[in-house]
Amino acid sequence: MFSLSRRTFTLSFASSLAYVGFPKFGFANATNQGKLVVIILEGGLDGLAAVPPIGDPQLLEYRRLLLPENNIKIGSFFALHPSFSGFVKMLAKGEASIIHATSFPYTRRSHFEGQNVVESGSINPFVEKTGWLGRAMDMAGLSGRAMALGMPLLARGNVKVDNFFPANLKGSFDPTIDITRSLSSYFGNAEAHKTIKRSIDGVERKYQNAPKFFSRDPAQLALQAGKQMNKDDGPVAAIIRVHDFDTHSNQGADSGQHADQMRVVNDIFVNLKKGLGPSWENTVALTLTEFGRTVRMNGSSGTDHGYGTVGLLAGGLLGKSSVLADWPDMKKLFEGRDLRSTIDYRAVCAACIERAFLLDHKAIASKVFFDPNLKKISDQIFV
Amino acid sequence: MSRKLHLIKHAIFAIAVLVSSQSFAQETGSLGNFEITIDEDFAAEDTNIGPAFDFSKLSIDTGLSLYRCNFIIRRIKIPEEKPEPLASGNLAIENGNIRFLEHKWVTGGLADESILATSSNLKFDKNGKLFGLIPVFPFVVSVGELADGARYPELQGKKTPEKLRTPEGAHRFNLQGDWDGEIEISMCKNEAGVRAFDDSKVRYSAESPIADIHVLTDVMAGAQQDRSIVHVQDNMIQIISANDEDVIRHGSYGLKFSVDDAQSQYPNRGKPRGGAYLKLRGPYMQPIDGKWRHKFSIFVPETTPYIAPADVYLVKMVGISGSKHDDILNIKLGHRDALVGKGWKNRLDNYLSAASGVDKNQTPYDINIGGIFVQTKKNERRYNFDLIWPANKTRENWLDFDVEANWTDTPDGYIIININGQPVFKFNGVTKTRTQTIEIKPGLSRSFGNYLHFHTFIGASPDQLNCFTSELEGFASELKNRNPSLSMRIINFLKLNGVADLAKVKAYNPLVIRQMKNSSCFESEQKANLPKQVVYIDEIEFQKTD
Repeated sequence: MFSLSRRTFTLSFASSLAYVGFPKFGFANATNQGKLVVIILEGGLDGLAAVPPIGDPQLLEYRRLLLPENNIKIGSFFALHPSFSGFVKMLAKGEASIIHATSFPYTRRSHFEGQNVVESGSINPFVEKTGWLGRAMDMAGLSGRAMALGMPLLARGNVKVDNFFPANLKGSFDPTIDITRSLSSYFGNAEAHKTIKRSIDGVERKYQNAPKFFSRDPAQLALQAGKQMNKDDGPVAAIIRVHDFDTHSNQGADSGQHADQMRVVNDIFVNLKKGLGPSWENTVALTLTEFGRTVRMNGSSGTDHGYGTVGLLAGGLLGKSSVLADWPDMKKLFEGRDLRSTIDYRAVCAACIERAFLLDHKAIASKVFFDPNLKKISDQIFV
Repeated sequence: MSRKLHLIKHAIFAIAVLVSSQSFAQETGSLGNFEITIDEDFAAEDTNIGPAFDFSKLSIDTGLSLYRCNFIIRRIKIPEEKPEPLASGNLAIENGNIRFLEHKWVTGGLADESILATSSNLKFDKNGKLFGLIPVFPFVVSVGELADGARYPELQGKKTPEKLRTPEGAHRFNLQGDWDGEIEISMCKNEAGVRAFDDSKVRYSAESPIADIHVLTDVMAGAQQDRSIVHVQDNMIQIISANDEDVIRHGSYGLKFSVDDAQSQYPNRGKPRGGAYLKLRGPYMQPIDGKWRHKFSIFVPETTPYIAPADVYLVKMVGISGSKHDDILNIKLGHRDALVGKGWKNRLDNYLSAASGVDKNQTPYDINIGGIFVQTKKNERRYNFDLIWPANKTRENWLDFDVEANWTDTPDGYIIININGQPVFKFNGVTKTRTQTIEIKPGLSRSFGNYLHFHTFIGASPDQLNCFTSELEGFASELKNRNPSLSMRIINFLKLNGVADLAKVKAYNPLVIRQMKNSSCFESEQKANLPKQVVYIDEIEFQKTD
């Protein structure tokens, strides 16, 4: 059976948005349930670039050429990359938090495995067919999801009330990946069907390679997401996916590819707040990335896949701003190359689910993340 | 305690202190909370959120404000040029900026009213072309489909029709690749629901630039301009905003009428006259018939001279029947001496008599009587002139005219004029014939034959007059062909020398005027040039009252 690799599929789009968790038909969201936005940063966010630990003397030794000149100081130990000009205002207003030296407990540095891990919530890749957010919404009794092509694993749950709708873009006759995959699987592997399968393969490749109609602006998606979520009958969760953090070469410092993508993240936060309006008070948004990046710059002025990174949170639901870290000794890098992770980011996700969906931590730990020993840190992040 | 033990104790304490002060730099097994101190500059709210577009090189029409226009946004496949609607509704234009009002997207998905309201940045330049960024949802999205954000194509002033200077028209932009888009704006109206612009199908040419001027409802309401105006050259009528040199009565715009010698017509339909004026009827060219109220505000600057014996009209109310135009009531700026026109010989004698008390060195034609006059018809040949506003209150003041009229061929007709709330004129009786339609012409209309003759000949020497007479005789055959008896009278009259009632002999024969201007018999400085005059008119409002 022909299978489209996830890499080529996800590279087809600059960003995407999915809404999940609508109230049941006829019932507005009348509870105190909050709203949750997950911003998936594909490729590996460089936590040391996003929130450089300027108080750590090792930083300059390792990263002189990657350290921005115009960092925004947020305290004596940490700074923010200048791309986060909007996020810093939220931090100042008690609406944002930073969790540093954190990661899902996955250290093999593969994009595909890592992305599967951070979305499924399982420390073993490709074991779970559902995502942690989906399972959390199952627990919270949220149903009626609007699905589309490329539905994120993160949002898939067990409850069989999902509705899948076929693509129906008027004026567009591009074959879809699911359609081609379905066709391909229909014909199986029989020798007689090789020609057909080759044709289907060609169609799919043409679709992948054809210039897309329009690029998608994640910041504008965030604005629209916020507006939809602000409605009484709007979704309670949204997933925004941003690509292109995998800067193996010419990463840049104040400016460059990584800085550009961090600016996108900043704009997403800003536009989410704008779009949500009053619902911002009851919302938490958090970033999710498969891993960080190497501490030292490589020979191509970039960085490679790493481990520990940073998580950014924002939203009125936090109630306060915090910069939280159990800061590791940077003289002792993970496998001699990466920032170590001293906080399991699953605990951060669990804290957000707990507060947004009003669920019990223990239940979340065992049923969402399959780890009864998962630490509860919601009291440190939320008021 | 021994000294050695004491030192060891201190050392341990020092190490403990050292460790604890570095507790944030080394993992301790629990989350540390780092202090947050952010500079005020970084923490200040950013108020400048929204799509950015560089308007700095454009001349934005900040005076353009319209209550309500229709709009429709379309996508257009190239080259098939098949337009498909995406959104439609209403918008307002405020100081050149578009503000979207109620509207609907047909695309579904993420499209709602807020995106245009909050995320567009569109401005008009002074040619009615649109620039900026507009959010467009280009796809139709069904339920369950992946939601997609808006695109932000740029508008760079591409418009059809190209020459139309109003904001109405189709403003085109490129969406991407082989897809274009457009926002078509139409049916712009003022708050009273009256169309703001002339029929946008009018074609314009350089020869009749007046047709390019769309008099906005900021200046005029309840009236419509006849597009057939000719005899107007560039900049004789301008729409102006208030500035150091110009004045407006109210709102953002006004009209400025400027006429000088170079812009006068020799001849104009056989008569020495010209000017710059509007020709107004009711909305949608509705005839002015029955009871109406006509309001307009006029400002005559001090620099605008009275130019007797030329007749200068600020407003002409004309009855038109076929090709025949009849002056019914004209509002006149200044007037020549009252003695002029009563028969030149008698008038001259009266003028010269001691009893008149007039400076003998000054001719009646020199005497300008300032102020506002109403000219009405006494009979087929004669007019009445009534002073309705004194000279000392005429210039450098806004004069708000309020004219109530019953335009009718029955005896219950009337025309009542108020200026600045004061009743200044009243007429009762027939105000038009049965077949006439009324046209009202505010602006500057000038008849100047008398002026030219007088000011050219008054200083002429006998030799110059003889010279000119010979020139005219040289054209005698042409003159004879035009009007034989008239030409001889002119020639004979000119031989008399001295001051004369030139109008009496109809010396404003167009051939004479043209010859006078071109004649080498007079020094160039002798040849009369009509002085420049400027008036401002604003707040024109017509209202049917029955």
